[in-house]
Amino acid sequence: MQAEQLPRRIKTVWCYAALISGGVGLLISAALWLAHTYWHWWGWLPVLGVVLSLLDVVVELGLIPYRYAFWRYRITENAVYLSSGVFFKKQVAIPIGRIQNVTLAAGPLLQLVKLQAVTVETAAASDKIDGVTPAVADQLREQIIRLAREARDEA
Amino acid sequence: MKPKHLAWPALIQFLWRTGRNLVLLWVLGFFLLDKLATETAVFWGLVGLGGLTLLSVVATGVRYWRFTYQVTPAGVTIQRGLFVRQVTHIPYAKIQTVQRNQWFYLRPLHLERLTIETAGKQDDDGEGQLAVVPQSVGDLIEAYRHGQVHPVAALAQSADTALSQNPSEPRYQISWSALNTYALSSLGVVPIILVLGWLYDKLTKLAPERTVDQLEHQLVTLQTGWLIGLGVLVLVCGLLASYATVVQRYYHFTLVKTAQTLNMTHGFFQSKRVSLPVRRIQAVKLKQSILRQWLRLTTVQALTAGQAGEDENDRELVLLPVIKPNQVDATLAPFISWWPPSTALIPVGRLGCWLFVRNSLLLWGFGLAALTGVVWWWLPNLLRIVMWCWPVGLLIATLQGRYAGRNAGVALAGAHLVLQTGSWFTRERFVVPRVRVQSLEVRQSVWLQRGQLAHLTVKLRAGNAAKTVEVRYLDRETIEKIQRWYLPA
Repeated sequence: MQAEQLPRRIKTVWCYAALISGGVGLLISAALWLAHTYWHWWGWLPVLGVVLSLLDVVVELGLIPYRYAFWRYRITENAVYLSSGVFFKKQVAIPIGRIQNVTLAAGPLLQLVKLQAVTVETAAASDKIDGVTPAVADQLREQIIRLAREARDEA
Repeated sequence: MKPKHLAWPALIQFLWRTGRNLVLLWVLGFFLLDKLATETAVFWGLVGLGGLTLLSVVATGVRYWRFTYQVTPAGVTIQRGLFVRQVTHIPYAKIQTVQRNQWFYLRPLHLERLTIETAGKQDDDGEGQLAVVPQSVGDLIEAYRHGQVHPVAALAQSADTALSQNPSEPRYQISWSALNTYALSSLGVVPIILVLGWLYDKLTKLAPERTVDQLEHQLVTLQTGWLIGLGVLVLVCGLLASYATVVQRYYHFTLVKTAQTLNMTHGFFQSKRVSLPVRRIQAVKLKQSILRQWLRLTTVQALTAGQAGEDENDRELVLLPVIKPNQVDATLAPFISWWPPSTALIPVGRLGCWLFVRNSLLLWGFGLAALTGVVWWWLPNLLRIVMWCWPVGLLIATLQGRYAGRNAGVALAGAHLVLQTGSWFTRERFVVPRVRVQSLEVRQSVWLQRGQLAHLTVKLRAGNAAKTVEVRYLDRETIEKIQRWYLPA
């Protein structure tokens, strides 16, 4: 299996996620503004809140194409490889034999675009593939579990 | 074997623990009663306290009465609870370690505390905690664990198991001088001083304010010489206490290997016996503080899945408390069959070393800048002292960075990975079999890409969670070699 890119729809999820995080930031800024009006908290706090929230949204949205371009996963006979990150690149290698369980999950955003997140757990840590189509997710789960079983039977 | 209750001293232990909590309750209760105005209120308050006391004593009794354990050829079964019956069954194959603690007062009664641990992620106490049981129970469990079908007959043959073993089996016992150096070089003084400080803090909160005021007044009027004397006294007491604690804990430390199981025995007032199958070891760690490095001493620890190490140093089981670095290979090889011969480390390059120093300087620089800012704002007259901190701080930062850079490195020794880090003037070397490396992570920022450097993170299982070992600023070539070694294409 070649290194796969995530489905294009994941960009929509990231886009919504960025907007939501910006929205939360704006809500906090609004609360700070109320605190400024009623309890005379520092006036620059809500301004800072708004600036940071907007900056967060702009940076997150701006990074989405890069984030998408750098996200790769690959599943071979004996291992799962993940690589991601734009400025801070991260490569993870997990041998199939060490995998304890595979979890498929989809929050509201992922459900909206019909994708699923796959979490691979070992005895020490867990790593996540941000989103794949349900068909690929099931196939991945089957493959990982089958390979894990084979690896364990051989051991 | 039929289900059995714990031995009677367990009830005393349970009651003692309940009593300790009750004392707190009573003290709190009296403080509150003092505030109540009417006598009837005080009366009912007292009745309430009495009721609560009675209830907790009865609950303790019930807890003891409902707690039973059973050792069968299939495993250990523990039953507890009155309303919610809880049954824990532990098969022998799943046991990681068996830990046996014996306080000196239980020695004449041949009783001990047994802690049976599995790799499961359940509660804090390990899964099977038997507070006070006869020693024979522990022997029986050990015998079953080693696959003896008729353990009772086998036990009758060898009355005392762990220590009076076949003389050909590997055995290590700490010498008095080694224990002495270990205790002397333990850096356990700082926490003890902190404890004394905490005690002082608590006392000042408990004692009426007037007494404290008087005391403080007296302290101020005492000559400075006296104060220094007092400081030295506290320090000496701290040192002595730290020394005594370490000597007590590792008194007669003995490591014996029987049938692929390591047995550690140590302790004076509380003797501890831990048995650990060699195949359960996740990694071996050699640890040296800079002081021990100067004294040419190192400590060998084992990382295991389970919680046997919980109350020991860093939650890791001590295999050899103190040993000369050049004797580690020879001493450890008979105990751990897979122990690889020592291999030269691939160190971090010159650029990597500089980056370690730079990071350390940045970290200290930020800290000092923040401190200077705070002092400049609130205590401007102390600014001169803070200015003196700068050169000292930056010197320490440089040394620390240099230390980290010089000690970081990796090596491949057959089927084993050796990782070494040096942070806060403590060098740690991990030796990990390939099958125990849970995952391998490589991180590289765009800035490091130019220098062909990256960070290597290895995830291991230790205790109840993940243990992450990161060696920073390795060159790309070395990392690729390790990646190929970990997962050959």
